[in-house]
Amino acid sequence: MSDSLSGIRVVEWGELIAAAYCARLLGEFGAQVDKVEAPNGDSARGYGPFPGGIADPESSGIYVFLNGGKRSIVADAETAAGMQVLHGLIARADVFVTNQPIALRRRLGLDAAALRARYPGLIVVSLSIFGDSGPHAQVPAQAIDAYAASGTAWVIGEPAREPLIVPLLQADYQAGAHAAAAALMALIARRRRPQPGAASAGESIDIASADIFAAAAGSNGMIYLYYGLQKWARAGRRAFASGGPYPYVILPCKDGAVCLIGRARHEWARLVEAMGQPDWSADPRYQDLHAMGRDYPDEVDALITPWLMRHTRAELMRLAEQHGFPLGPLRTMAEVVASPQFAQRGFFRQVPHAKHGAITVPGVPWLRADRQAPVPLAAPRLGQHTSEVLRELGLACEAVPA
Amino acid sequence: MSAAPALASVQAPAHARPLEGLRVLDFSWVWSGPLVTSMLAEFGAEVIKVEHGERLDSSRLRGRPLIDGQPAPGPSIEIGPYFHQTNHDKLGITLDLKSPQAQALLDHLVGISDIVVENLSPGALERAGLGYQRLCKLNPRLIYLSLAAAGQSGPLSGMRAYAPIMSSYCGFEALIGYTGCDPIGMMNFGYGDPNAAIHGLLPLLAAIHEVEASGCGQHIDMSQIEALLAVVAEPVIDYFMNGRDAVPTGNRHRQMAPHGIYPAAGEERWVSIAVADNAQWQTLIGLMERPAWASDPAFTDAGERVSRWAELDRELACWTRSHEQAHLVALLRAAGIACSPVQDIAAQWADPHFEARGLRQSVTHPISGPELLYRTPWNMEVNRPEIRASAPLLGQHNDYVFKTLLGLGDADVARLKAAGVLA
Repeated sequence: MSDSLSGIRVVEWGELIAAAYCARLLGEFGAQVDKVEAPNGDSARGYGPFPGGIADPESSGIYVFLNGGKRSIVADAETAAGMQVLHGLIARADVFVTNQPIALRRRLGLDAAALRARYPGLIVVSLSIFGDSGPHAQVPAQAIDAYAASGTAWVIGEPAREPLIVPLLQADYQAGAHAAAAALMALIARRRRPQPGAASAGESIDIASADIFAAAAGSNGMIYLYYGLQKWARAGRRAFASGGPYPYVILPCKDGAVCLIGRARHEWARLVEAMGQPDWSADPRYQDLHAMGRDYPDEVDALITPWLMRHTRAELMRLAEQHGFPLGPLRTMAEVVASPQFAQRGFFRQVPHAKHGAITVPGVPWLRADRQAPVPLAAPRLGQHTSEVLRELGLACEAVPA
Repeated sequence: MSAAPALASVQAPAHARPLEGLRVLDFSWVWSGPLVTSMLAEFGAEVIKVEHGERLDSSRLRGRPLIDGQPAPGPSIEIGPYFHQTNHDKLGITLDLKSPQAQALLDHLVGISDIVVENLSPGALERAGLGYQRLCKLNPRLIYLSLAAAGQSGPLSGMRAYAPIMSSYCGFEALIGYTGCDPIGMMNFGYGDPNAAIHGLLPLLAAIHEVEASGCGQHIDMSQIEALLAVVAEPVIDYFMNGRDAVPTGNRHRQMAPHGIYPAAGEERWVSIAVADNAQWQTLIGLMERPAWASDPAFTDAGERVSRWAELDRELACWTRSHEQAHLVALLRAAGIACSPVQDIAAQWADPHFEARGLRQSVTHPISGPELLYRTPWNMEVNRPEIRASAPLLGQHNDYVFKTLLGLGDADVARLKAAGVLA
């Protein structure tokens, strides 16, 4: 069976994560992705992690994760020859994805307006922290600025210490996932209302990580309007004022910590039942879950913690299942990767690798029952497909810088 | 009953929104699933949210909101801002899935719909006769998206979960905390839900693109925990590669230092600062008027700065604390260094940048009046996401769906209401 995006061509011109994750997701549905790298390579090649910690541009874990199955074409956008390659690729592409800085894109005539004027049917996707328009569009920005400006960092961390970010460059991954979905929407629009010419089939998509986190944090923040809370603030290992009813907290147990959440009366009743109905649980002070969550959650934590400390995470998980209350163990990566859940669903992929045999990376989080799981494809060596693609474009190999 | 035609085969008119003419049967609740369907609605899909008086979306049950310090008027299940945010532009019907009399109505609805979205416990819809295997026989074009915490299969598939429980389980929550301290997680920020929504939307949109050509629907079995692992890839890869177990690293970055959140003058005033390379470091120490500590020649090297982050952070905080937030942001940005104010939600609402980008749109709710809601955060020139209608009142569109779409008469509807099937 041909896949959803068979025949769709994507050209990626970016650095590190955001554009590469977007293009990789489109590739998962069968699009062919041509990745244009500068002569010194995508910075993801220097990011790691590396096997044995030894830096090697062909063994970077993040590069291998994000670029399996793509073709790598070296072209220097700062040269006429490189620009010829880029335009050759863009001219036949359905989607052009980039997270290069807007100033650079404009200087080189690779911004959405310039590209759409030249290629009216092209879907141009740009990804950045603050977007291509608005008062902050031109300010220097990194992923951390998205968490700061959006209200996300404000609510993570201890009240007496500095706010914390969402780690591991999540702003870039979210931009990539949203950009891929927006590109799919534009492809659907093109397919569902075909035009006589290609003129109106194109699209400009401007994705900003700060917008994505602002919408998520702001939607979540609406919950706080319910309780008359005048502010929404960080509260350490707990949601501020428990986000409503008690509990919504991370607490220590015998061999680590667990996340304990109850939103409904019956969930609390089942937790208390699992604890063996301690005497205090009948006290009127511990009946109003909202008051417990808002006014004296530390006091309730102190009543529960001794019981948690007598049990391991595995024992608590079993009790949670038996009695039916929501609880999750905080797990280490060693425990996560050993989980039979992911093995059974075939989630992790072994990407073939010339030097290391294979590099194991996360797959995609969905199964489609009517088709085979994709065979993991290797990530390209830098410039591996340059001459192949130049031949396709009818360009001489000399056009490419060595 | 006369069947309305399936809409999918009808091509949308040239000016239409991309999903116009597609009908979505929405059995999802809380945040992840309703966020997927609200995005579909913003692009023109007709989303029918199925509720029942005895089984309300729990987002309706948050209690009475206080707006400007005053309890908002109206029935509390209808006036919640959080429910309005996640359910705008949907039609609302009430139908008791467990009633035998509902089955024929549901089958009829499935026959004239294109998409089913659900985030219930695996098996729950099968038990109600609404599993994919049965429904795809009624409608082979049907695209059926299941969003469960751990997916439809595997030993964890019965897991009950809220977002932070999923992010605990996949190892992410344990990576949020200050360096050298126990993890504290990000309990205020339910990252798992919006992340699940976007990773559920992706295969759903791919399937819509495909069905237009192939005429074949499909079942998509999405795991919300796997969706988190897909984006928390770095420590997963590092563990497989090097057996290294990640720990919380606060606000640090693998390649940049200084990188973090620093105090500005005053109470609870903070700025983020990220120094991307050695040239920016030289610029920064120039702005600080070259204090003695920063003149250590070792600091000219990014790697050295990254390994001595604690010393760097402490000294930099001494400098930032003596300046106003707005001054720091203007000064560093003008010098080409990333620096933003750390804003609370009220400051985000007031930020002219998000306003200029049109991130929130106004809509009028029949009880609550005008309100601002976040639209899908994609700025598109042609196919724009758009909020046009407020969230449905409970059962608001029963007449349209049961009478207009399914062809029931007034007497049928009255009888089903009296029997508690539509209630």
